[in-house]
Formats: sequence, structure tokens, C-alpha cells
Amino acid sequence: MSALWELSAAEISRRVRAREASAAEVLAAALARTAAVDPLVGAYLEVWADEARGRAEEIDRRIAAGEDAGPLAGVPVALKDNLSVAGHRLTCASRILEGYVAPYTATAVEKLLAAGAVPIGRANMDEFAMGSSCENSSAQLTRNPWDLERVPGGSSGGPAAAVAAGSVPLAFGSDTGGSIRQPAALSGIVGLKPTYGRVSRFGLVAFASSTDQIGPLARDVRDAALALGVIAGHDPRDATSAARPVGGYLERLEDGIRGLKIGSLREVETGGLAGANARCWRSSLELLARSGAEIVEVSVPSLAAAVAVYYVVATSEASANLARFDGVRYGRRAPGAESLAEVYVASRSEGFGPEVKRRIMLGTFALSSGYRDAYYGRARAVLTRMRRELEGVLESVDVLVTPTSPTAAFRIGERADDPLAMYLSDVYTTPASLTGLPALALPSGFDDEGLPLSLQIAGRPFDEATVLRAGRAFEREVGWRVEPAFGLRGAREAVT
Amino acid sequence: MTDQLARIVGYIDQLQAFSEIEQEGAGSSEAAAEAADAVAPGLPRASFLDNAPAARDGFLLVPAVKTAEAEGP
Repeated sequence: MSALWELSAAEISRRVRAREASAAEVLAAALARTAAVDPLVGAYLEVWADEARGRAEEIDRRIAAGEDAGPLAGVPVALKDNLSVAGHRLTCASRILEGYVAPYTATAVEKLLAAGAVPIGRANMDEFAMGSSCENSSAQLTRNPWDLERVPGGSSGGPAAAVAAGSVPLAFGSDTGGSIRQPAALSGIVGLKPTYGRVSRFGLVAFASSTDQIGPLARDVRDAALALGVIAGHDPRDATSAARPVGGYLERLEDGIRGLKIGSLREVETGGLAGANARCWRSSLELLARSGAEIVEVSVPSLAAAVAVYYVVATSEASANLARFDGVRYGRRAPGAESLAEVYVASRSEGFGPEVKRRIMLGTFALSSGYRDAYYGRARAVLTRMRRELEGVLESVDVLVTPTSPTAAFRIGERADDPLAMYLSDVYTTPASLTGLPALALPSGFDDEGLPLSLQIAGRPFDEATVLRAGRAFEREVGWRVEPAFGLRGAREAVT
Repeated sequence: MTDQLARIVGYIDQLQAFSEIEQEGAGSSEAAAEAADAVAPGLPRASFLDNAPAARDGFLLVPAVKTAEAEGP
């Protein structure tokens, strides 16, 4: 029989609502597991044990009184440190937000609380969500539970590591260019970036406002679907959230993919995918075909420019969004500055890390007089072309598949001095971000070193139901199950 | 960092190769709903000031930007 910390979110909720387990017992198991694994993994910046205990007890009281405690009743969750929770510190893993306390709660988090979830803490991330390894956190290193000498991916590395290590069954992060899907891939779990506009961004610290989106990281597709149903929906406090019907993510989840048309991108075959990742990619296509799907080769030529487009558009938006962190209105102010200009310069110089500075400079350059048309204007134009190509392809197929990441988890420090190599980790994830499409990352196999590999399934706007259904069919065939005890290679005795 | 930025800009320059650049369209095909244009309570001043590095008498405190000498006659 599985221990409580091993259960899925759906099973925890079922047991808590059926009074087969209490929310307090589930939380105690999660906190004990976290205490065992987090000294090794470093997923959390802060654990809110006392507040979580109070919330779990409140859920138990409501259930005892005959109330419906919600679809996530008693489910422990971790939150990326860029999601506002009123009264709690919020730093985006940056020195410039030292001491900042969120004055309000993000809409997505409000929905989680209303659904009975129990947030247990703030999870680490790349500073301001800029990175693909979680090494850009100013606070601490987070390690991959599958191999502690490797990165968990990023920028939602803390949430991904928390789920993979068995601390929580569900975590929530943000995805701007792949920041949910890539760490999910490297950490051997499921990650969903919903359609842009599906989930309110109110209370999410902005990085690139045109692509930022909140989504779940989970151990399986069912939990991702369950979580999406909770956090999705229009929010008048976010003008870009969509007034579209929500739901249906669980109802047809097990219906299979017989007859579904799945687009396989020709550009993946010609893009240099090698070794175990190439073998896994091809076997994934065979598996989808065996499950009854029709595999159709399609082409989106502009995808070759996706990383370049992304790093112009996202950095341009970041350079504007991060202008507000000036040493006056939030958190850290550099001591000793004698004029307003010195406050700005010194606070930002001390407060931001190298990757954030690099992206602010890139974005400022791309928007600067004389270069705007050559960089930002051209990137937007190529993006328009990419959107049209993808829309055209998605008229002929139901979903598109690619690998999620060109490699498995890499070693800590391996790409630290080569930001361009790090950016190229996003080659498969940036297209869905730029065009707002929903995309799911899920485990697809292992490389030669036993590290997880991942398949990405992208779909039509607001058709997460089909994406999730395809993912669930694939997951069922692969027979994958996250094995947290196995995950802490070299440290099993310490945590089991 | 200069070399790194140069390499990144060099990589981004591949966008020049996309010669058949089209004029930017109308953006996403999915129109976003706009928030109602209605008066709503803002963030309480006390909450805002709690997060400022320095505050006094209900206002943000910033370093002096104009000295007595600079004010002139």
C-alpha cells in the first residue's frame, strides 16, 4: 500500500473527502517527506508548515461538518516564488525583492485555496523566471532528484524538483518560453502550459507579458487535468484572460486516441536530435501509432527561428517590465546612493543577477532607436509568419508532437558560461509560448544514463482537453510512474 | 559579458535570413476580453508603503534630487 506522500492529488482528494484520511495526516506525511528530501534537493525557499497545518485542520473541520471541501481537498502544493500570496514574502529568487511581502493573492492561488489545496511553501526558480536550469536563483541551488549532480531544469526548477522528489503531488509554476515544460522534462514529471489567456496572470510577477502563463506540474496527466480545471477561467482583473468555457478536462481523459491525427514535425528529424533522445522520439511516434492515432508528417519552416524570435520578444518585454524595480518602490535599495539616479543604478546593479542584466540589456538594445525595426520589428514579423504556419498545420491535425527538450538533464555548471547553449534548451518549447498554444510535457523514456526524457504535445488554442487526452493515452502506454524513492540516486537510504 | 552578448546577437541575426518578412498582423486570432472600465478600490496605501525601502508621512521617501544650491535664486 502506498504511503500518503506517494498518492496522486486525485487520490488524496478522494480519500480526504471520503474521510479515509484526514488532510492533517496527508500534510504531516508531506512535511515529513519534505524534511527528508529537501536538504538534498533544495526545492524550497520557505516552508509554511504552521500555516499549512491550520489550513489542513480547517479542511478537516469543513468535511466533518458535511461541507464540500473542493476538488483538491487536502492536497499539499508548492508554489513558485513569483506567485503572490498575501502576507508572504515574494522574491522571484532575486536580491532586488529582498524583504518584499505580497500585498494580495494571485487569482490562480485564490482558486487553489478555494478548491481545498494546502500550499506548503515557496519553491525556488531562476531569477525572474529567466533560465533553464534553476542555477540563476540568487538564493540557492536546486538539484535534480534523479541525479543530484544535475540541474532540475528551469525556470520552475523548484516546483519540478518538489514534485519529482515526492514532497508534493502538485506544484504550480509559470511558463514564458518553456519554464514549466522543460523542468518537467528534465525532472521526469508532467508539466502543462495552458493556452495564453486560459489562466489569469493577476498576481504573477511579469517577465514577458505576451507569453507568461501559469500552469501545473504533476506526477501524472490526470492530476494536471484536475489542476487545470481548478485554476482556469476568466478573471476581470487580467484583461488578457479569456472568457471561454472551462472544463471537460477529466470527462474524456480516458477515451484514447484512436483516429486522432497527430502531426510529427519534419524539422525535428532534420534538427540534429541524436542518440537516445532520437531513439526515444521515434519510439514515441510508434507508440502513438500503435494506440490508434494517425501520424502525419507536417512542416513549420519558421520554427528554426523560434529561439531567436523568443529571445528578442521576451527580452524586450522584460526590459520594460523590470523597469519598475528601481530601488524606490519595492524591496531592496542600495545603501549610500546620494541622488535618485544613483539609487536606480546602484540598486539595480546590486539587485539583479547576471542573466537578468543580460536580458535587460538585450531587450533594451532590441527596442533602441535605430535597431528596433531590425530586431524587434523583424522578430514580430517572423512570429506572425510562425503563427500562420502553425494555425495552418493545426487545421489538418489535432495535435502536434515534438520532444520537449533536446537533451536530458545536464550537469550543474555545464552551461553556466554559455548562455546561448542554455537558450537553445528552449528550441522545442518556445513555439507554443510565442503563439499561445497549449502544450503538455510528459515522460517518454530514459537516456543511456537513466535520466528521464520527455514528449511534448501541443494543441489548438483552448483545446487542452484533446492535448490532455492524447497525453493520458501516451502515458498509459508508456506505463510511467514517478518513483520518488528511486529518484534520489545515491541518497536512497537517507530518505526511505 | 560583452562576448556573450555579441554571440547572442549574432545568433539572433539569423532573423535576417527570413527574407520574405510579412507585415505584422493583428496579433493573436483569439481576442482577449477586456476588463470592465469601472472604478475599483486600489491597493491600500499602507500595503504599498510597507514594501517601499523607505517611507515617511504616508509617502515614498527618495533621496534628495534637488539641492538648495541647485535651486538658484
